[in-house]
Amino acid sequence: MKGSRDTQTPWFKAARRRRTLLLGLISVTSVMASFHMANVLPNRGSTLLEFFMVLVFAILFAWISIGFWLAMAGLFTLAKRYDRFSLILDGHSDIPVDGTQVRTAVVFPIANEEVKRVFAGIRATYESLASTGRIASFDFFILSDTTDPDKWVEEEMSWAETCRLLGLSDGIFYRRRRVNLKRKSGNIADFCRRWGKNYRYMVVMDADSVMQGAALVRMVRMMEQNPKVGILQTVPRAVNRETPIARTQQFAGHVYGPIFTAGLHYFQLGDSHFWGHNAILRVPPFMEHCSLPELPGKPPRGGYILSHDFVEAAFIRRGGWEVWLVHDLEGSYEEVPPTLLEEFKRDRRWCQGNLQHIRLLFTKGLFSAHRALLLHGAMSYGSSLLWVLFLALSIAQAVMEAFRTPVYFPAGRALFPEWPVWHPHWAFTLLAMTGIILFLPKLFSVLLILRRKSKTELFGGSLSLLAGLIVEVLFSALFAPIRMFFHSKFVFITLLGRQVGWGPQERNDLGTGWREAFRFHGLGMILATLLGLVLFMLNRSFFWWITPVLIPLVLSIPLSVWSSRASLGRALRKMGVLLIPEETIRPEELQALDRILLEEDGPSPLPIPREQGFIRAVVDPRVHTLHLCLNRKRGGVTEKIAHRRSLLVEKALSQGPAKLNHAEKRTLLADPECLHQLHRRVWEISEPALERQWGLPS
Amino acid sequence: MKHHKTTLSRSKEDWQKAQQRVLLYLRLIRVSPPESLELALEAMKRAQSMGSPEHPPLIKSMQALCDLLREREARGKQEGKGLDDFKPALVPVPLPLAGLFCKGLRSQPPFNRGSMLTERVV
Repeated sequence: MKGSRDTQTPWFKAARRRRTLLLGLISVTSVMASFHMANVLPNRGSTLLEFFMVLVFAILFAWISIGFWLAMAGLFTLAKRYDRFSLILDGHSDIPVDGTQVRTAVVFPIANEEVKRVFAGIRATYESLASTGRIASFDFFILSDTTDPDKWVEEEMSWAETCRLLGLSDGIFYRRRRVNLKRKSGNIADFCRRWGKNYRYMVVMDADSVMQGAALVRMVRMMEQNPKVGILQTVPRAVNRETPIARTQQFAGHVYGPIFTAGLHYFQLGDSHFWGHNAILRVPPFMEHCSLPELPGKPPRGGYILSHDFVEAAFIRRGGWEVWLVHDLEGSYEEVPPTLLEEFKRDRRWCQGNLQHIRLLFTKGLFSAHRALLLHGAMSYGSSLLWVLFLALSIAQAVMEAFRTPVYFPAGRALFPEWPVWHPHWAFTLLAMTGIILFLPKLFSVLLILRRKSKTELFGGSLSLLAGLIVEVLFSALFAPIRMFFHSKFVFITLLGRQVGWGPQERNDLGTGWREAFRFHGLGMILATLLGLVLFMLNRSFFWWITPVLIPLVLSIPLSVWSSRASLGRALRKMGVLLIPEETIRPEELQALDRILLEEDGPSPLPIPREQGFIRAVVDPRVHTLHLCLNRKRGGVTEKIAHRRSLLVEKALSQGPAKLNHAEKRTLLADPECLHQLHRRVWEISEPALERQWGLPS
Repeated sequence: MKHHKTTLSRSKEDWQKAQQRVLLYLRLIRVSPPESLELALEAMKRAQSMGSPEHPPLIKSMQALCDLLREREARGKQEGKGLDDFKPALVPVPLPLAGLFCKGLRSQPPFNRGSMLTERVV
């Protein structure tokens, strides 16, 4: 089947009307707010500085009002409980999803992740799918780009163990790429080139994703029922975190997520987002349209496209295939970064990727909705820089007011003086408008839940829910200025041409240390303190207005540390604050995940920890054999290379594994002959110090 | 005399260490206890009958064990107990244990190659 760029479909016409309405609503509210802003200012926007303040304010207000109107549309959708464009099937269970034609690959692209957690998620998803009786139509693929030699071997062991525990000879496959070309998008593309033609559909997961088996089957059914759909994106619910900051985000996702995603669906319909995971893709059009180019120029603005998902959605849509958001499908889970610094590590990567999208805005053939999504993605981080600019302009205005002598009689004849006057009642009106825009959607989300007792109980009851709302609002207010500071820094660095690496996120709740927090937040704290002191001396009234921004920045170090403490998060949970439904009634697939994570390795005669994969691959004959079986023979190497590798073997034998760096370990792991030689000779070591290093009993 | 006794006791220690190492290897590859004792004994005998006095007992014992395991694997293949779905040609080194640990495991399905042509950004 071919894609179609038909713009006369019912959903497209409805979407066009809805988006026109959205633009109108945003424009009206932004113009009204900008008028108020101009009236707040002493010269009513007539000076150059005030003009730019009003202009920046207008853009920012338009930005935040998008969220407000999305939420209102979502509220409308959820309240009327019927959506004629919903793809969720009701009773269409006769659509077959079995057989040789309808095969689905569930792919897990991973790179240097926590191996135990990854495979626990894979097993939990597999077991849940197996319980539906439809497992025969699905294959699981672990697509590894891991470069850490220890994790590489640990992945292999975990894969073999998973197959053994599930009693499988195939059905769960493992492939590690030797060359990490184009990162995650290249990883997926590599899978498609090798095996894509075997599958009609592909479900892309993240390292921490878990999906309910019934949800997977339902997604395949929806794709079968809607042959024009290229991508179906679920809304993964954040679960499993214990730190206060992550629990706040989990809570927000569960409470406000439904209203916002319903709103997204209302306006986007078949021109929706793709978030890169917990989504099902139709493989043939994905292969035809979604091989991403390298942008001209050097990174960070050029090079590989980091945030590939938005672009893949735009390209598949360009090819005439629809992209839908299934906002009301349950059973899709993910985990959020556990600490503020881990969140920033992720955001820095996303920021660079999203800013690259600006270069694709005028790509030929893209639908305007997707151009808007690309711009929206860039503005997600660019808006922080605009907030900083607005603050800077406001501060400049306030400082100027402190030093400037007012001109009561400007040039030209005037009978009466012109008084530059601040209008505080306008300011309060503006503040109230902004507050409504930001907080009313949250209130409506809570009211939607409180409407149904059964739903309220899932959040721990009405008191728990309200307590959670207060805590979440407090956290948002405290952390917004810190996020603004860091995001604007990321944008600035990216625009200056400095790129970011693709380091793995820390996905467990280990917490942020004080020293690390000082290293990251120290500059912001110092700048905010200095600014506060200057404003306090020069313009005290403005100083009090800006304290909600300054105080969190000054306190950013303790805020970052305390919000990362899992013990505090557990205390909140015990009090029933920030509870989510998955904590009140644990779904089966998450129970399975918990159970699998508690499983321990059996005893081994060799005292080598599981995490020391390289040593295990050298010493443990089972692991060694498995590793060699999984790594195919390659062509011959030159004499020079062979000699270098033999020297590496000698170095490993004479100095021990601790003296080898990651690259050297990878070289040995990738050369079966050298590794086998090392394995045989390690077992012949008799020197006690080296025996200990290699984990051999002396 | 003292030197001779010391040499003898060290030599005995070396052989004991070699024996322990061989038994540990057999335990790791999960050979059943009766068979592992037989294999260990055979390996030690072969090692003792080897020449090359410059090589310590540990080296000779482990080499003897590797030879034994290879012979065992070859016997297993002849008796039809070898790997069917694993292609030894892909692995450049003799792996006497491959049949033991990798039989029945398939890390990748057969390729069905397709193409993904890079999209134009105009």
